[in-house]
Amino acid sequence: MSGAEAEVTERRPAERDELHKREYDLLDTILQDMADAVVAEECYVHVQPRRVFVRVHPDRLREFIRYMQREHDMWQVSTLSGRDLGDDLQANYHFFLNDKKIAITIKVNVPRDKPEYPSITDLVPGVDFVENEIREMFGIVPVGHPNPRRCELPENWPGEEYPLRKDWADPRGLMKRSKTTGPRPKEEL
Amino acid sequence: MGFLRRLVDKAKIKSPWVFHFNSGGCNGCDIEIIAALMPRLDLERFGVKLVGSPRHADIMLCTGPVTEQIKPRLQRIYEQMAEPKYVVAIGSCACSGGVFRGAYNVLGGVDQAIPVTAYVPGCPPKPSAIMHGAYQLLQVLAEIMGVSPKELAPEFEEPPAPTVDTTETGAEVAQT
Repeated sequence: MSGAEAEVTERRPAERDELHKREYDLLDTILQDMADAVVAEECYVHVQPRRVFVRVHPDRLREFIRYMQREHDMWQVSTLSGRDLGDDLQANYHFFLNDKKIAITIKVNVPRDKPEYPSITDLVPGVDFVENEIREMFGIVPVGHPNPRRCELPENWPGEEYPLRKDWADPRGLMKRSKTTGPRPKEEL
Repeated sequence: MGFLRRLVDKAKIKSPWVFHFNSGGCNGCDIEIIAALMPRLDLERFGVKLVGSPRHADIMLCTGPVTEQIKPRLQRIYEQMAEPKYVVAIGSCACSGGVFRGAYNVLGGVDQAIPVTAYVPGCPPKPSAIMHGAYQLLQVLAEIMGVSPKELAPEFEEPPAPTVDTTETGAEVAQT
């Protein structure tokens, strides 16, 4: 490769034009009302219409969700996704604002050595299952979850291994095992 | 005794009851299995019947890559089936792992957990492919049990080839 490589980034903010007026109205209101709860430089309106990203401090997450439910009628939860950013782990809550027709993603960054943030299952019952899932898959712990349990991985899975983290090294050779080349002999079944 | 044995073997070939098991797939193949059993292709004309319990079934139709979690359940259900028992792996996932090949939580194919007799690849396989797989399996079974394939499905016999006199021109053939 020659020449300067363009920086690969997920962040593609939109222009302040007529197409994105509703989204910027919402984002400006959020930045004004909850200025100390959000990380302002990580909040933006995506160039794709009807898409807003907000990053929230972990300790203010519950307050922010309550504010969104109270002021913006945010009641429909889509899902929760996790990411491994290297130093940080990230939980992304995806919500739909039906009246404004906007999908909003609330990002929570937690440090890798202490990946904990307050659970919002009592405010949003729909994330009960996915918060358990993110604890299993990424090791991001929603503290105060009313019903912590194992939901997806096998029962004999070791507790301290999180398969969707980038540094999971596959110590038991599971990924090699599933690349099968033929039926297993009958005596091994 | 020979006559009775033959009768039982023929009855087994003529009425293979199937049981359907999903070992962690996406339901695509399951829908196609249902489509194969429905009146358009009508697998039931071979005597194939979908039953709800492995204890009643002769053939298990298995879809999906076998996940780690479901492996003991699949083996237990296979053990519950009465002899003689056969397994058909339906779909790419059930044959080799499919898109889940190399994942950490699947075994990569039904043949890693239980012995498999026939494979139907495809993602999902068309109902006609499932039909073809089932018919191939029945042919194999007929061979094993010593039943002639003609008894299996008379309507599947090839129709006699139309006799065309090659010495005449095409136009005259069309007239006759």
